Amino acid sequence: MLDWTRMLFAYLPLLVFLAMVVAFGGAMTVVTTLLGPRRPTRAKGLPYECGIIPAETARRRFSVSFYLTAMLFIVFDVEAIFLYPWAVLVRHTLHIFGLVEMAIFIALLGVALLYVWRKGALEWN
Amino acid sequence: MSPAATSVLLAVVVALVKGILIIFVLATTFAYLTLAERKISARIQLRFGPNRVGPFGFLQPAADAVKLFLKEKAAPEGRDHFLYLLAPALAAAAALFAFATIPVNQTICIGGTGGAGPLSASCPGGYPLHWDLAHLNVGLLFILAVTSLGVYAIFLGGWASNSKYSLLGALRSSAQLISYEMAVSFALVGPILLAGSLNLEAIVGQQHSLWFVFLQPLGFLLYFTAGLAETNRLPFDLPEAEAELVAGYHTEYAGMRFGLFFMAEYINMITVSSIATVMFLGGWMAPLWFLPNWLGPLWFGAKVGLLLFIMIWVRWTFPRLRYDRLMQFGWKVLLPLGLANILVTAVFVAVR
Amino acid sequence: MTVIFGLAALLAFLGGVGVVTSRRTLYAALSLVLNMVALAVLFLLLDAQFLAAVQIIVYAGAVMVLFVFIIALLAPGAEERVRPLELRVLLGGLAAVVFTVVVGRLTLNGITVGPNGQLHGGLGPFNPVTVNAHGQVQTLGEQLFTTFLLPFEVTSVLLLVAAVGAVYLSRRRRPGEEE
Repeated sequence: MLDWTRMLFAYLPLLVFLAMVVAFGGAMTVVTTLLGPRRPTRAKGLPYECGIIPAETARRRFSVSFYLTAMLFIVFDVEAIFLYPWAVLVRHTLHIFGLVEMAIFIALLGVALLYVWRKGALEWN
Repeated sequence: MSPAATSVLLAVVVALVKGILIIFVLATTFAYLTLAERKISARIQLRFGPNRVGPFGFLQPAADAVKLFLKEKAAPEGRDHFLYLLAPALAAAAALFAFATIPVNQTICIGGTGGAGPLSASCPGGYPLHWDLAHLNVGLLFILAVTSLGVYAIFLGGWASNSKYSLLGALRSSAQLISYEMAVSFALVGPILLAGSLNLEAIVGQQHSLWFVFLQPLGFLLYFTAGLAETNRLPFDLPEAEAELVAGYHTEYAGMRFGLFFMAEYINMITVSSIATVMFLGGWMAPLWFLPNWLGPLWFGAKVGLLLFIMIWVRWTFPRLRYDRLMQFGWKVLLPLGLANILVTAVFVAVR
Repeated sequence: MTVIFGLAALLAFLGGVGVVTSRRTLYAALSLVLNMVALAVLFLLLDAQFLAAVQIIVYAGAVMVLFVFIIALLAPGAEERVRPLELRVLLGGLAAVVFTVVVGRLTLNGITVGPNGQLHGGLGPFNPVTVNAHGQVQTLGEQLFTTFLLPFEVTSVLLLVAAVGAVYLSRRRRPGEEE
């Protein structure tokens, strides 16, 4: 029952273009690797650290704020996703009803933002 | 060949041609955008800028490209080689791919009975020529989806390098990207409320009498500001704050591997400007009533060019924010303002 | 179409295998990203554009970013400690069986097998024709914001709880405070 022709015309170009951009990225990487001189030395291979020999691996724990940001991002990203179908419908379908229900939704998320704010989770130090 | 196979072949050929055009135009614009940036920054600082290679330095981008290709590709020890090579290619590919659904002109009906018009999707008997590569009803969501994957390129690039500067730059950059991605999502809801559609061509069509920037000045400002941050531009270029982090996540990249990251950033600038043009500045519509509308792509390009100029201008005018201020600005200013803008817009749209 | 489906399904499968077999946790997480993107392609093949976009924006673009952040940075060296293989296989197998039964039951609901072995599904009020005539996002939104109004509003409470939880998880523990 799916309308194959319409879907084909909608998504086939995307597939073709995806193959093209992947080929582009891959080709650039391969070509640049093949070109150019190759004279590796011990010092050249060291990660840059202002001339000092790196003491330990770079992969280590970092400030908790980064993880908190990522977690809060998920919360508000989900909210944003709900906003999109709603925004499409307000003008022609939902009208004031939609306004009220989204106002409640946003208000609760506003409370979340306020809570996070007051708890100092948005501070970086 | 059966008619079905012919139409599939035609679709593939059209997609190939459009794809080559997009890649060519974006790559050329990227090349000359770097020159424009150097020229404009020079003028702002009362210098000349590059003027040796070709007249007015016009061949400078070509020289840069050759140089980037021929440089030695020094790479750090202890790197994760696969991810180290994957990251820049992914960055460039994602930046290019995001452009697929941006319409630079209205659909033109070739040979059919349907007239060309902002909303005429039907073209009986003819071939509807869409001026975007993929004509999706959720074109805007497609762009948001593709750009939301760009964060992996930056993070993995920094992580795979096994360098402290790279990693810290990558971490800062990804946290900044996701924070401002949210601000972008919220800022774009305003025009959608006004247009009642996620189809980019329909959104432009709704602006034929009045561009949305006049109804959504705050939304435009929020989007443009967040867009600057999304592309790591000053005053939000903390991820590569050279005074603190050497070069940020691409510190350990050399030659065209760095070039791909660089390219991705500039193409993202073009994409952000294009989205702003589509959502707020009336897309391909002529800027003044007496100018002909059939020059659509030209007007589109002019608007994008203007926004790009402003981006460069801002970079050489404003100082850099401190990182904690930057994150707070995203969460405490752009986010609440974005929500308020949505509610106020919704009141007008719903009550009207 | 079948070819594209096969490719996407293969990618999704490879992603799934990668999650389980990767020795390094970061690669396992990236395999999961691959799996999610492939699933989004499968959604597109079912002509569910909005779901495909949501799948990428929320899962691949937000949830997995957090996973990758944490895996890449929180516990270097912790990658070696894993539970005994037998227990994992047992639990995983059990989950797979339960999942297959549940999903299979739901999928086969109302589907009849034709004389030549082809499947016929019952067409409900929301079939591809009606949905596309009305617009996908429109149909989805109308259902979400009218029929499923209560679940929608409850979602905001859920998100509020999630925000509180995130703050709680990441707060600094003062010395002497209980875990």
